[in-house]
Amino acid sequence: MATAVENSAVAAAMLALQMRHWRTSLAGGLLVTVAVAWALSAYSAGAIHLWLWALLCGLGYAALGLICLRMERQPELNSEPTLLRWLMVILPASMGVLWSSLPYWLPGHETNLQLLAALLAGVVVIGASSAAASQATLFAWTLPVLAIMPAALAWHADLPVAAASVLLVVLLILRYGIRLQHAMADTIRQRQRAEALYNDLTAQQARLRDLERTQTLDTERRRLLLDMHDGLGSRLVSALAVAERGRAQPGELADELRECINDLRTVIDSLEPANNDLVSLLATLRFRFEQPLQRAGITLVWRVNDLPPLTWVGPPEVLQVMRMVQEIMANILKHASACRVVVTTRQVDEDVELTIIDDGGGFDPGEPSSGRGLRFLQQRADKLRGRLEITSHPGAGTTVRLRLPIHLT
Amino acid sequence: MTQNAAHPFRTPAVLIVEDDPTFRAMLAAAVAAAGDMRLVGVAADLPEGLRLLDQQAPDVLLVDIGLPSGSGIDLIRYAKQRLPQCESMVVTVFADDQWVVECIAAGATGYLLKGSRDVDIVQQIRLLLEGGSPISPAIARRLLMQMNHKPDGAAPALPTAMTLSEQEQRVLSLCAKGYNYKEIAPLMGLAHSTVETYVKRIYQKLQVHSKTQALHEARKSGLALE
Repeated sequence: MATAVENSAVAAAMLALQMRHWRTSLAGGLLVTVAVAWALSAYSAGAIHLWLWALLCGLGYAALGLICLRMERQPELNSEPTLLRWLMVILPASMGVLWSSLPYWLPGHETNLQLLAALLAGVVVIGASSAAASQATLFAWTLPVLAIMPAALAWHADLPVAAASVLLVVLLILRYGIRLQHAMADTIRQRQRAEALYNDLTAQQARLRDLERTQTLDTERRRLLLDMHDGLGSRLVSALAVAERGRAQPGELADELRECINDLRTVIDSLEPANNDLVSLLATLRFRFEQPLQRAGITLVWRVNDLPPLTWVGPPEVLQVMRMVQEIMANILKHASACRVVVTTRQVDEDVELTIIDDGGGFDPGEPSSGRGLRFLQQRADKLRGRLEITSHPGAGTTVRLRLPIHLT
Repeated sequence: MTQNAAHPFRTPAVLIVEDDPTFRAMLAAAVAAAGDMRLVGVAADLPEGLRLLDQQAPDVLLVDIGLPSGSGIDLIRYAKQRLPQCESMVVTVFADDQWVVECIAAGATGYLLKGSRDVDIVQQIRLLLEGGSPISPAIARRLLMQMNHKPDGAAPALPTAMTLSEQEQRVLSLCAKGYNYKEIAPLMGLAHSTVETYVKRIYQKLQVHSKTQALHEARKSGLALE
């Protein structure tokens, strides 16, 4: 099945090749015909016959030209077994007959002339058989020559040796033509296979890309959903609870809703492209914490230095880091009663280090009441494959140190 | 606090153009309660905003980007042309929106976050009038990217009116790292007011830059009629 399709594709390509060159082929044939008629008539008494022969040849070329023109204008005709396609065989066969019967148009006793005519016809057959054409056309051209020319030479010109030689030469030409056609068909077939392979590969790559994109979108969507559920969703629910109680402290509901908006902003920030730079991330957070800290009378000391981008960090990780910093800042605002908060970043070997130090009340890390917030931070640090270190003593402030690797090994 | 330089003896006039009624009322209340500024008009849409802008010639314009009959950017552009002393502030939900950069390119010199507290809103307006409206790190980053972007390789070097000087780039990159003007000044060995001047100049350059770039893009796509 596949080969049948392939063969017809090869045949179509061969025909296309033929169509591309039909003008030069026909012009060459016509020129040679006229030259032969003119040359032979110079030596021959029966010149009128030769010109009649040339006229018939010319008519044949004209008919072939008309068919080619027609097929060129309507390429869809190529694929159907119409009269046109039959003519593409019948007309070359007639040309073969005309050329091979050339000895009959000459006086039989003029042996030199006969040999010359046979030689010229041989050259024309070589030319015809090496042009791109279907096998049917090739046989249409050569078979009449194979049958008629030796007969004409043997019986009309009485040149049996020449007849045998012509038979041999035309057979060789036929074999050469067939081989040439096979070689052409092979080349075309290989090119077509390569193209098909290329198209397949391109399509497959596009499919893979699509799949990858869908998967990325899906992961992202699930992450956002989960985050919305845990973060914004639960905050909104608690804001709703505050509102429904109807006995909210002044500003309590507003604070709760403001937290919701902040949360939404954090999620949106985490989606910012090229956000694997910890410094940009902290900068964005600082901008958000500046005013609440100011209101609480806390001075923020910013010692943030350039860090290499973290190669493995994408939106989910950015969100984790942002949530951690938010949690630490919220703790300082709520519990620490600090005057100063120092935020520092630096590179330590193959890690980046973020340190947040406050001079507030501190706490006892062993006490169970401080457990929940710490567990939250530790969980997030673990998810990030980072190292978290919290040191604090009652009355001596708190230091939170987070180390993240620059490259994941 | 210092008064607006253009009008040393009168409290700065504020015009608000915002289509959301609740938020409009809230902004108006915050400005009215501030004491050191006065509200000269409130509009809900673009035509009314344009009319009030001509009539009141405010010192500060607070404008929402998405208005029912057009973009607030048009209003900012108009204010920039008609009232060069007027400072425009974009009112937006998200500070790092690309819109904000476009508003700055149109002539805005600051922005207000929807959902901020009253005191913060008033504080932001005061900062703007003092000449030092802060740039958010995200916007600083965007500005850096936008201004360092060359139109294309074959284009001749941009004139200095459109490229950032080394100092200006440093100011922006420090902003992008989260430093505020007060901290940037000693880091760069400059006076606080010089940092503010740099930022204003960056804004101006962005305006020129975006105009030229728009023209360049238009020419490339064969739209400019000149």
